[in-house]
Amino acid sequence: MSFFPAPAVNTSGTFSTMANQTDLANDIVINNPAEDSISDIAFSPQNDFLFSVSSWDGKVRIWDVQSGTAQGRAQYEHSGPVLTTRWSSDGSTVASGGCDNTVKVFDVATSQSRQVGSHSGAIKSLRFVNCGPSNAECLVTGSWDKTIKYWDLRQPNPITTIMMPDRVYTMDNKSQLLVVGTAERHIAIINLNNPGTIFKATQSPLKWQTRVVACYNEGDGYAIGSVEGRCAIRYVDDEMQKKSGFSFKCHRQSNPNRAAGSQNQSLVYPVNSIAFHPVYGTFGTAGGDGCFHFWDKDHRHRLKGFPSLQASIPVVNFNRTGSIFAYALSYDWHQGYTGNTPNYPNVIRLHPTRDDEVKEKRKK
Amino acid sequence: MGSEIDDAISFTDLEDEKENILPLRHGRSARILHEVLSSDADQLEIKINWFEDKLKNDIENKFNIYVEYINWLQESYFKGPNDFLLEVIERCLTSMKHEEQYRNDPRYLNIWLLYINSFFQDSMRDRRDIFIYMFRNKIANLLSLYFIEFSKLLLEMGNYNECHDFLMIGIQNHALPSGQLLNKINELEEFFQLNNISIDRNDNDSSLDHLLLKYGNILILNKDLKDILASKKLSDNISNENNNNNNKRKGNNNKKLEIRADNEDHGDSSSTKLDIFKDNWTNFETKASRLKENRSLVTPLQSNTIIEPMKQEAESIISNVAGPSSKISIFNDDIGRTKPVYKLVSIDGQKPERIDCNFNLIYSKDNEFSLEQLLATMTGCYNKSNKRKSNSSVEAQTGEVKKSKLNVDTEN
Repeated sequence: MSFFPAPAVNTSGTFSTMANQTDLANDIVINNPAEDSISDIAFSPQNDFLFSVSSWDGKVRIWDVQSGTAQGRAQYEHSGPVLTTRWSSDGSTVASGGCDNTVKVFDVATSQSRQVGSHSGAIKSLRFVNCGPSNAECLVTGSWDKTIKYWDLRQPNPITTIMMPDRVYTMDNKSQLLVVGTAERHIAIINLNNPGTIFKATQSPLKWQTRVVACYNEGDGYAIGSVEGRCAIRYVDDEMQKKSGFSFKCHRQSNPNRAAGSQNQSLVYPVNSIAFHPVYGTFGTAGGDGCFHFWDKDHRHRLKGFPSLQASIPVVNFNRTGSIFAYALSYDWHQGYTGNTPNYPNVIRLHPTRDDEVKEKRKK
Repeated sequence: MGSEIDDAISFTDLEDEKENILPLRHGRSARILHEVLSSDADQLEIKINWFEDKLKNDIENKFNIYVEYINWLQESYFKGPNDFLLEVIERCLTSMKHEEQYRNDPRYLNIWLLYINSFFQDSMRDRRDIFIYMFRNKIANLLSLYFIEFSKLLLEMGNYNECHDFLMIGIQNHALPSGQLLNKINELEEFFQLNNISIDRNDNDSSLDHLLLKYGNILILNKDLKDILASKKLSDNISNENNNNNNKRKGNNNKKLEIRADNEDHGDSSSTKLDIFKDNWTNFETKASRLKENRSLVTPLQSNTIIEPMKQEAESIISNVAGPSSKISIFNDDIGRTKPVYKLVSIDGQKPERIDCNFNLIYSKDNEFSLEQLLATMTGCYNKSNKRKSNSSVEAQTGEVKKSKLNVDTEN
C-alpha cells in the first residue's frame, strides 16, 4: 500500500527523487528585480503573495504576486546595500538593515519609511521576535559589529545590546529560540524568555565557515549550513542532540569531467540558505551550485532535488503557508570578483510547492 | 672511382643532393653533376674567376665567352641560389644590346629566352614586357623563333588577334626561317577554327599598324618613335599624334580620363607596366632592381630533411625594417582574472572534496570573512562600517554592553 505519487517510487531504495526542468516550468519568474544581487527575501505573515526583497543596490522592494504575475507595490531606500529584511507579525511593517548600519522600518499602509536605530557595523540579519515575560514583539538585529540589539520600534535606543563572540553572519528564531551564527563558527543560543543573556554558547560542528542557521518550527533546535556543502541538524537539548543530531552532505556533485585515472572528487558548493516549511517542518536548502533541495530531517532523507539553474542561489524562503518557495538567482561572491560577470543572472523565482515535494512521506 | 665514371654514374651519389639541383628543360648530364658534386666548391670559384677574367681581357670575343659562361653556369653552378646565373645573364644581355652583329644572333635570342623562361615564369605580364622591349630595340626581329615565342605567350594570354597579327609582322619582316612562321600561322588558324575563335581579318593592315604602334616600333616622319620619345621636348606632341592615330581613343582624350583596367589590353604603350619601356627604354634594369622585393635567403637543402612550412626568421628580416623588434602582447580578456579557486579537502576514508569557494578570500590573513563581507568590501561599504565602528566604540562603552560582555565570558 502506497500513498506516494508515482515519481516517488524508484528502484534505488531511497526516497529521494530528482526533479527536472519541467518541475520548474510553473515558476513565476521576475527577471532583474533589482539592479544588483538579491540579499534577502521575506514573505508577509498575513498575506500569501506579498513579499519584500532586499538588494545590494540599496533598495527594499515589496512585490505582490496575487495575480500570478509579479507586481511591484512599493520600494524604499537605504544609503548602502541592504542585507536583510523581515515583516512584523501583523504584516503592517517591513524592517530592513544593511551596510549603512541603520535599521529602517517601512509602514506598508502609509508607505513611509523611517530609521529606527543603528549599529556601528553593517546589519547582516534581523528578526521580529516575541520576548520576555510580556511576550511583546520587538525587533532584533545582528551586526558585523559583533553585537545584537533589541529594538522597541517606538524608541530610538535599543532595549538591550548583547555582545556576540564575533561578527554576526546569520540569525534565526522560532517561538522562544533565537540562534545567532557568527564568524569563527560560533553559535550563540538565546532563550527569548531571558533575551538579555546568551543561553548557550557553542561551536558549529562543521569544519568551515557558517553560512546560515535556521530554527525548527518546534523551536527545539536549528540547522546550520556551511561553505563546505554540509548541513548540521542540531538540538538545543543535549539528550535530544545525542539522539537525533546529525550532519549530512549536500550541494555537491561528482566531477563529471575528471581526467581518466585521477581520483574521483566531489565538487562542493556553499550552502547559502536554509528555510523551514512553516507547516510541514521540512526544509529547503540552496547553494552556490544553483540547486535547491527539500529535506526531511526527521526521516533523514531528501524529499526532492532540483536541477541546477546555473547561477548561485543566495537566499530562499517559504511564504506563510508554505505554498510558495521563493528563491533568488544572483552572484553570491563565492569566487570573489573574478567569478562575477556583467551578464550574471539576477532573478527571483517563485516555485509553487507540491505536497509530494515538501511534505514528509509516511513510512511504508 | 675512375672506372665508375667511365661506365655509368652511380645515382646514389646524386641522391643526397637531388632536391638542390635545378632542372633544365633539356635535362642534365649525370656525369657533369657527378663531377661537380665530387669536386670542391673552390674549383667552381676558380672556374668562375677564370671566366670573369676572360671577359675583362678578351673584349673582342666577349659574346662567345658569355655564351660559354652561361652554358657552363647552367650545367655546373646548380648548387645554391641561381641569382648568380641571373646576374651574369643580365650582364650579358645589357652589354650585348647595342652590338649590331649579335642582335639577330640565335644564341643571343636563346639567352633572352632563357632569361624570360627561367626567371619570369610566374608573370605573363613581365614576360610580355620583355618581349616588347626586345621588339622596340629590334632584338631578334629577323628571327622566326622570337615571333613564335612571343605569339605563344600572347596565345597563352588570350590575345588571339595580336597573336595572329604578330606572326604576320614576322612575315612582313622576312624573319627566318620563314617556313616555321608559316607553319605556325597555319597551326594557329587551325586552332582558331577548332575552338571557334574568330579574329578580325578584314582590316588586317590597320590592325598590324595598330599593333606596331602599340608596341612602339613605327616610323613617324621617317623617325623612329623611340628616337622621338627619347627627346623629351617632343614627347608631348608625339603623344598627341599617338592619340590621333589611335582610333579607340580619338576624341575621348579631352573629355574624360580613361579608367585603366589591368585586364583590358587595349591602349597604348603606357599599358606596359615598366617605366623603362615607356620613355627611356634604352636603359635596361635588372630584375632585382625592378622588383624591389624582399627575398628569403636560399640555402641548400640537407638530404633527408622534411620540408616544413618555412621557418620565419623574423628577427633577421624584420630588424632591418623596423629596428629592434619587440613582441606585441596580445590582449587577453582573462588577464587580471583568475580561474575559480577551489579548496581541496581530503578526509580519510572518504572521497576528497573540492569546494567551489575561494577560501583564500574567506580565510585571508588569519581572519574569517563571510561572502557578504567580501562583497561589501568590494563595494566600499565595509570599510565605512569599520570606520564607524572605531569612531563609535567609545560611545558604545555603556554599562549595559559591559554587563552583556561579562555574561558572554561566564557562559564560555
